[in-house]
Amino acid sequence: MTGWLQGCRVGRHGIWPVALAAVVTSSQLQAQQEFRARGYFEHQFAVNHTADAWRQLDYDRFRVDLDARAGRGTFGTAAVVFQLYRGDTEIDVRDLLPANLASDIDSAVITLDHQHFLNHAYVRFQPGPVQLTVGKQYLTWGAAWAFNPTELFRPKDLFEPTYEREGVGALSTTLSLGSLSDVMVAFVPDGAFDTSGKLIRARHHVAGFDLSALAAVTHEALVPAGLGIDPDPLEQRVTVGGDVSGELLGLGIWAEGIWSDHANRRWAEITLGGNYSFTDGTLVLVEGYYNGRGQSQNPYPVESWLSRLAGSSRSLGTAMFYASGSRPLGQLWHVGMSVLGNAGDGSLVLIPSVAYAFAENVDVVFNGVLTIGGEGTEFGTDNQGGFLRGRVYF
Amino acid sequence: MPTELRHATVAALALWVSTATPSHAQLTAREVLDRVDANMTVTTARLTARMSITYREGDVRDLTFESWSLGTDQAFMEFTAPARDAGSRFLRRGNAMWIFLPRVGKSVRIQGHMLRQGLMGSDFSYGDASENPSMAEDYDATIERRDTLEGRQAYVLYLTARRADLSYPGRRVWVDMERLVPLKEEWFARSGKLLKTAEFGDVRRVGDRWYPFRIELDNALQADTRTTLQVLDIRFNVAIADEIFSLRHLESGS
Repeated sequence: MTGWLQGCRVGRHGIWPVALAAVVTSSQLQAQQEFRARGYFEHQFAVNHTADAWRQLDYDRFRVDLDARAGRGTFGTAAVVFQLYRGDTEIDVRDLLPANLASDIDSAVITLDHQHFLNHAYVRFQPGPVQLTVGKQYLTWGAAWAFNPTELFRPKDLFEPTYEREGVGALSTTLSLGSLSDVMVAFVPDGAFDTSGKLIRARHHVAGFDLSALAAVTHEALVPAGLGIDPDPLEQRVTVGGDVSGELLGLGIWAEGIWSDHANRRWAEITLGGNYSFTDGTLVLVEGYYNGRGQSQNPYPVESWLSRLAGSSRSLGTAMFYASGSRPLGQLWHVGMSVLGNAGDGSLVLIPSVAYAFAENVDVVFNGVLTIGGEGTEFGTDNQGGFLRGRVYF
Repeated sequence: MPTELRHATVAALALWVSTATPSHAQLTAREVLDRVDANMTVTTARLTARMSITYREGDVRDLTFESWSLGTDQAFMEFTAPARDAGSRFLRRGNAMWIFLPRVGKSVRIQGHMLRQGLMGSDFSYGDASENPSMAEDYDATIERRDTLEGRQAYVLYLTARRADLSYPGRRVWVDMERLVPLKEEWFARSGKLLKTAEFGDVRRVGDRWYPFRIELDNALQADTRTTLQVLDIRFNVAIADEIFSLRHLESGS
């Protein structure tokens, strides 16, 4: 899967004492200031077919969100996530590659161990038109639904673009230039000052359209360490781009693009998309994505596969598409079908989904994954399978 | 007679006189719409409401929210319950609408025909929530007839949209002849097909206006649900900072 290895981390200690402390503290603080605690418990059972074997992996996930308003425009928020894995928790990266490439790399086993982490934790000061945010925060933007080339730090999982993502440790400041216009400058510490990320983004709403422009300098490695081959060095990446979204002839439309200079390569990424909703609630969405760093045909080199697994690149192919249709069945059920494809090598993934609002604070979701394509194509090598997920909010 | 009781008696008499006198009997359709707008549109308002979705099986799901309004084209809404939806926020500026998804930390433009999707799973669509509440600005009206609804005399108006981009090109509105608030509305597609029916109730006097505290909405295309919006608290002409109606506030909520 795309970006499959993102967010894997290890940690076993002190999970439940911290959780209990958070809940107990929340009830005490609620009486003292404007304070809010909420969260969810989630269980997911997944199966997939990899390397000629069916595997099962399930997890329990517990998240607590804490928000506090401390006066004079100061706001603090954090979310703690605990996740326990069971089942086939050791995955060899070679099992995720085409058979003819697996022998090109050393065995690299990723262990999905119990983990706990701060999904986000930041403080925001807003004394006037300037807003200052310090801590692990969301740096997510871009008008596109699935392929967001302007999102430089936490790319979406293309198999489930709407699932939550982690924040990014950063210091950012936003200057308001009106109700629908502002300029943001962000600094993303990473090692030395020179290798830290810096970006500026401006947005404006004019004539019914949302416009934004972005320029960023980051340091990235296409293939990070731990994937069975020598990692790439961190190299400077310069990115400029932007997006536009609005409505034309009753259609919701958007475009998002960047131009990048990284590791002696220069390329563009462009997404164009639109949606239409019928009166019965059926929503149809189509998106095309051009990745100038991809290849128009397979075979793809092993470095590209590993880069995609690590989330450093969004696709192997140059011409990609995403389409989905969904509609409510009554108000408690929702069914949908998404298609993610590579137009160059002809491979695609069908993702049927069913969601059921079992109770006011209970959701049940099923997603399937059916891949179609020959060996060595972008999706033909991916796993067949699916997951069933239940979530209870509190 | 104690002073307080005397004042209350005078106030009650004044209220009775103002509501019982059939002073609106000769109004034109345009004048009726203007008077309805005077009751239903606000300079500023802060509102707390509960939205109850009733399913065919008898199951009821409640959502509560707070909203802030400025004039007819700026509104901000934040859901506070249930836990699943708490923190979801909406900003409307004119015909443009954005939603903030708290667990993704991102605001998304609700655009095009996506406005037809149900607001938080209710019979109200995003488009309904983004409509200009002033009917006189967007519709031409004719008085079709007079009718009696729930024991109250009403004008029956048919409204024809002046613009092609409105969600409902045709509307039929029953307007209380005394209080000049809507009692019932039928919303039609361009083909003339009935899409939704709204019934207004629990009409209360708030300051110098009448205001319906309950709206029941029936979506003809979703026969298995019915949504009731019950106003829990509303305050008109309150001071609201312009910052409330900004993208930055939508995303920070602070």
